[in-house]
Amino acid sequence: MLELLSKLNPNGWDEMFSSKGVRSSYRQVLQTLQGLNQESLESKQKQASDFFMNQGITFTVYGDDNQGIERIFPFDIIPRIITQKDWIEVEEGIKQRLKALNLFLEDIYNEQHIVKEGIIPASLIASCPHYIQEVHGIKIPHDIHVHIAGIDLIRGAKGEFYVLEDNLRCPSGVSYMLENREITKRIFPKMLTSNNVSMVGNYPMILHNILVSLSPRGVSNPNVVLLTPGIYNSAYYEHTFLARQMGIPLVEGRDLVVNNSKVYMKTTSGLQQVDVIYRRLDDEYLDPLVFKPDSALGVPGLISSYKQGNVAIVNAVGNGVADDKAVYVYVPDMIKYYLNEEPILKNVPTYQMENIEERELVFANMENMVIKETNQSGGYGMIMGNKATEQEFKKAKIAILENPRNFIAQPIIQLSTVPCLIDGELKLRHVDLRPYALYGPNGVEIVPGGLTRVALKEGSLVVNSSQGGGSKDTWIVK
Amino acid sequence: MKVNMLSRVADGMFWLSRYMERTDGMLLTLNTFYILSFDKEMNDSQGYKPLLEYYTDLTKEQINRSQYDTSYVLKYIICDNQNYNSVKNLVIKARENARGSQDKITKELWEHINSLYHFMNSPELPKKLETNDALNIITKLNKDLLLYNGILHVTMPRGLGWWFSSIGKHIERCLQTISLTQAYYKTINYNLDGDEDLLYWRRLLLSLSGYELYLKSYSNIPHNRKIVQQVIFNRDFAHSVTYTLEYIDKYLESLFKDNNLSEARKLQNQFGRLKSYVEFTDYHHLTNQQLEELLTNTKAQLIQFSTDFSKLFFSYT
Repeated sequence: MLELLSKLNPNGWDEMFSSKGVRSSYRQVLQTLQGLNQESLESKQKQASDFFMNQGITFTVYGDDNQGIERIFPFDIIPRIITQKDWIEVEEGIKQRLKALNLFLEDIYNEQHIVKEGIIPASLIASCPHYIQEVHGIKIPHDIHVHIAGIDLIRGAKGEFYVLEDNLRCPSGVSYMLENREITKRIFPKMLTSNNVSMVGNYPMILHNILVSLSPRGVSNPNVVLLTPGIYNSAYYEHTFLARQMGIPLVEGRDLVVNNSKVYMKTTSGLQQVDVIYRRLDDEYLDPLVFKPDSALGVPGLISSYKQGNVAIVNAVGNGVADDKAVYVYVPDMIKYYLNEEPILKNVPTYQMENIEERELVFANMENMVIKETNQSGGYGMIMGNKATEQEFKKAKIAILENPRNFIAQPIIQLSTVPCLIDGELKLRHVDLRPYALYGPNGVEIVPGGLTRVALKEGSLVVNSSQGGGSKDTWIVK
Repeated sequence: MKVNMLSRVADGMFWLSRYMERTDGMLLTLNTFYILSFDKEMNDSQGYKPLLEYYTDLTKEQINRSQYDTSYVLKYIICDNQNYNSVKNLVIKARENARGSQDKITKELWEHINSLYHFMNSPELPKKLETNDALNIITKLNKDLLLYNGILHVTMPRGLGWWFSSIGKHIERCLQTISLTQAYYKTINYNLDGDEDLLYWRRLLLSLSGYELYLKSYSNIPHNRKIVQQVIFNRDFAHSVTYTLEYIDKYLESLFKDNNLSEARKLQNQFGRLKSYVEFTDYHHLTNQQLEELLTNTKAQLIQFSTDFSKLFFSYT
């Protein structure tokens, strides 16, 4: 039997334990875990790893001999639990935020009232590399720009939720949310049933309905495709997973051609018109005639067809301006401006490096700050002040002074912790949460769950899979 | 409802099938030769030569040096990274094609190919082949390929994907049958009236899964002409040239059913001529030279057909 309590000493908010002992939502899970010996826990962990390996949910690491070795993204078998009460706050907060961000995108690519009224500085938008001038003035179906959002949340010392960042371009990881649940069904079937956990499996159906509803052609069975960069992309498994779950073709750029401003796919029976593209490649690779001319991933002429309304692209082109880390600071103002409401979810305090006073404050406290590049994601371009060397600080200062618009800083927040099974023992690790929101003509829908990412290295606050992070199944208990 | 298929995906399914069929045939041949290598038979003048000649790009000298070297052959055929046709490399290529057409193949098929891939990439495999485990490994791989075919048959929907996949499989199988047959007739100068015994032909028949059928279907002697009947003309033998061509024809017909393109008609005629050439060959009166020509020409025409077929359906770049 595992000894749990004696090993746990939460510093900050722990999801499983409070100072009074185990939280009620975790009671049954803890009981089940305590009833298992180490061998059986490890066997469940192995079962999960084998499941991911056999499904091909892997990424490839290349060695010196150029031979790829397949690795899985680590999965921890102990679920992360969120109560219904907390979930309602998260759900309402994300819906509110998404509506405001969508209104911002509609505004910024049309009249730009928010800039004219001085809420957001024009220079911030003009200097944003993800603001796409080419799609200014474009009319898109139902005025929806963000059909799929993955908004990253963290919990502070008192358990309060903060938005860490908004991912409004091609948020990934939803297949892990779904597959993590599938593996939990196999390793803890009774525990899952007895905890009354909300279902997440209907995500692909909701997404498919939204995609179909966006077709510019009034046909009963529009041709919806998922556009992938190809088999070498690290998220390729997710692309195949979603295409299979929705029953839509998985296409690469070379499968598509634009003729007379309409998009077609090349089939064995000739060309077939495409109505909706769920793209999983970034804006700058979509069309070599408009963006990177040397990229072979996209489709020449796609943007022209999109502008003429002959094809819908999901998410819309140009969303990067709304999830730019410097624009993030203004999201609470957007909520007030467009919705006339107070934000339900807080932002993490953020310092803009363009602002001299804020910059000086950050330079004086760098060891307590995390510095981020505004146009990076996946944990790249990030300096954790508590881990950085003097040399790194010096380098960061030079880079910031050269291009202050390119950086923001945030105080290091101790993310909440959850126990994880590591080397046969239960150890505390920091987590975040990425729920997936879907925005269609009938409003915003969020499946009750999300992807819990875990920083597997002891003491680390970086949860990104590209930086050695893993994941957990996320339960919303009724 | 009419369902279209991306040319790239059709290409992927065609080649997935070809690579897996090649792996299957090669493993069956390896298994046969390996097991027979334990017997010191009188008629084994070739060793692993037919296998190495058809499935690898080793030079004549290299083949001569290694045709009796079991340990080298096992590793070279199963897991040598430098051998473009090793089981490992074929499975890698098959998996890559499966990945590219993953939304059109079933989950069961994908998982099976994927687990085979992981087995082939396990770092311990080459060492294990040096031990007494070698036969167990070959047997396991043979079974994995049988299972692959079973999963393919039971789970895959019939339709475009199935047709492309089946055409690929039967082209590959037909080429294997012709090439291995050539290897055994070439060494006896295509002598149809010779008196090679069953021990000689057993190696070919076992490699093509046709030994038991041969024993049940034909009287004892002489074998040289009867083997031709079995491996080229026997309609009940799943590896015969006639059988495989009939299946290609069947799936081509399904593919061309609603296709009125002149290129499609041309390709169908091209294949019809090839099939008729084999079908209307009178094997009872076949001469040695005609046998050699039949095998050489059929192989060349089938390779040409495969190229033209790919051009018509898969030219997506």
